[in-house]
Amino acid sequence: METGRRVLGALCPGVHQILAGRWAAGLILSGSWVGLLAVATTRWRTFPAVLTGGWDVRIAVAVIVFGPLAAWIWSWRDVRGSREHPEAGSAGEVVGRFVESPAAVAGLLTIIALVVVALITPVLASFHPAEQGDLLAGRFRPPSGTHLLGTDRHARDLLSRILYGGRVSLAVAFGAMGISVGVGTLWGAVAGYVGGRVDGVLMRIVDVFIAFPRLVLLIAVVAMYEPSFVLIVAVLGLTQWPGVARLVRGEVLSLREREFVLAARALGYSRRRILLRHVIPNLLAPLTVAAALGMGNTILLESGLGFLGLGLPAPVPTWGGMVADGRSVLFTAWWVAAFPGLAITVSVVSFNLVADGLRDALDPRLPW
Amino acid sequence: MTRYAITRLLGAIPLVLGVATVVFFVINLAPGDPSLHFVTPGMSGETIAQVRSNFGLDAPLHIRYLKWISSLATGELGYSFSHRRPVLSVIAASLPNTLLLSGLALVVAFGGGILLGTYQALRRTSWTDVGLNVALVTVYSIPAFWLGLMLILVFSVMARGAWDWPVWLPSSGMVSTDHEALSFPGRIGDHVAHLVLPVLTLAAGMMAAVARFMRAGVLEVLDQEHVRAARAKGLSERAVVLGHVMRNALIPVVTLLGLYLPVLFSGAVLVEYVFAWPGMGRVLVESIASRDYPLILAGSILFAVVVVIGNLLADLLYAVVDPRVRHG
Repeated sequence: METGRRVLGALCPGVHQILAGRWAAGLILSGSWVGLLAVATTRWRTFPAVLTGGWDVRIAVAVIVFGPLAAWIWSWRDVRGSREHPEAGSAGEVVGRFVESPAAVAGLLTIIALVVVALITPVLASFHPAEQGDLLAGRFRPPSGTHLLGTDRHARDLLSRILYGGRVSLAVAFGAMGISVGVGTLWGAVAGYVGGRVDGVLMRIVDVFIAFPRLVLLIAVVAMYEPSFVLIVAVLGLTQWPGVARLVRGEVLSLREREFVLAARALGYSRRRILLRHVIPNLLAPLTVAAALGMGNTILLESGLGFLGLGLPAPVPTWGGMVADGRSVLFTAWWVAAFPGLAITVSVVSFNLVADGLRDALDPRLPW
Repeated sequence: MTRYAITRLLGAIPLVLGVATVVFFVINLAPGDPSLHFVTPGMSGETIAQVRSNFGLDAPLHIRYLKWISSLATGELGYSFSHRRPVLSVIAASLPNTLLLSGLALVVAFGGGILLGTYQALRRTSWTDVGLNVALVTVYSIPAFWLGLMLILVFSVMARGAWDWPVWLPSSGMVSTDHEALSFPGRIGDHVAHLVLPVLTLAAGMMAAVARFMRAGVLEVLDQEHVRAARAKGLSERAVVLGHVMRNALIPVVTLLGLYLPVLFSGAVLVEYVFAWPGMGRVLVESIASRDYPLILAGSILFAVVVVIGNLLADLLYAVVDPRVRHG
């Protein structure tokens, strides 16, 4: 029985893990295996574009080809290796608690799927996002076999535009998150660790930025200057960091009184080294939660900007902009506004579910 | 407590000035100029220069900044370029509408959230609880502008056209076009009908957040000794929940009231845009689009003031609901 399961697990990634009750790992493995192979078998005709197409196509094909392979190797090693019982307080224990929550696992799986789909979009999408169909008969077609989610006012395929829009949204959100977590962590860690007058000045500045009506500032900056990818990422990131800084400062204030920091100081390490090597690594847990929440928030704000017509300029499909396109045809073509909004909701929900699950897993004492 | 409130408000002045200063420089350093609004084709270069100097736009940036700050100190907010009337009168016309919308949304969000959260906590770990949890995260994650559109789709477009419901709700504005012709109760009904969808849209996300806080609060209080004591002395479950559990669980939730005020105001920007609601948020979006500098600045200051008042309100409410907290 055991041997049979192992053989099966080695051949079909994910089966062993699911049978062993490890749903999260099993679903990721089998999902990527089945999903990517399905894409490969239906879309292999587009593969030769690797030779002529740009980097996005090459990355997409690489993901499709190497994804299942990686899943298979991971599963193979997993089946062969023995699993130790996770130590109390270790990362393994946190992962164990995380996967106990079905909602959190569903969120994580959705995020992974979103990222993979974003990567393979050039191969997956049936149409180019700016490709116009028959402008006489093809406009505002309801969902059908060729256009799974229908077409918009320029007879463009909505599904393809949503797929490409997802790439934009995720890229903006990841970029903005990187900026805000980076700046916020350094700012808060310095304020908390150095303390005194430096702390006072740094946190005053944070207060000013937190008092900012964020959406208003975003609208002002984007409307005044030419909206571009870099500008939107920068503005979203730079309005998010004060919250991170405040969180980090609070954590650092408690961390710096702990024994291991005292020990590091007794060893004569420099402040810089203590901060970078001893304090900041211990912030990983709260930062992950903040980052997941921030991702959801950023996607919401970015789509809000797009909805107001302040997102990335026209040929680039953005979810918010697509909802705005559908606003005037709500009565005749509801799908134009409905599906992009659904995409926003699904991605924000999954980031928030993961944030919740992580918070529960990291601190079981918290009630939610 | 009054003294505490006054000190806090005075202390917040530099904060508001800081926000205003940043906004001032962000918009003034941007390319473009509001004088373009008054320039018509065929105007000579001289006239354009005259227009610019009339609005004081020809002065160097730091002079303009000092002028603006000093006039702000005297309570002078300036003259709106695009509305062609004083900024104060533009705000006076739109702010009450925003206050009405957000005030009602606040009531709905907290009322609904408190009830939902308590209900959920009393059925903890049941399927109802788990299901509601996921439902609340979903509601919390829906972009307000899209939720608004979908509500319009269902309750005004489809209900009126395709499904032929007896009742459908208006999708934009504050009153119908035939408002004046209606009888008095009819006018009230018209107002209420126009409020339903915007208020629901604005309240939904916040209601979900409040419900989660309330659930956490109730769960924490349920485990405490005094609840066991109340049960032990034979109080009905209803009395225990209402008088002992909810009352204590409300303490942290009430402070959210202040903290969520600015969130509501920001949310109102998009919701007003979707429902064509003539409020402050819409005025602000339009003012930014038309580069109406005085109006943008006044609007941003207003939003910053709302944040300050919200924070103060949170602290004061905390002292009101929790007798252990005292502000000297």
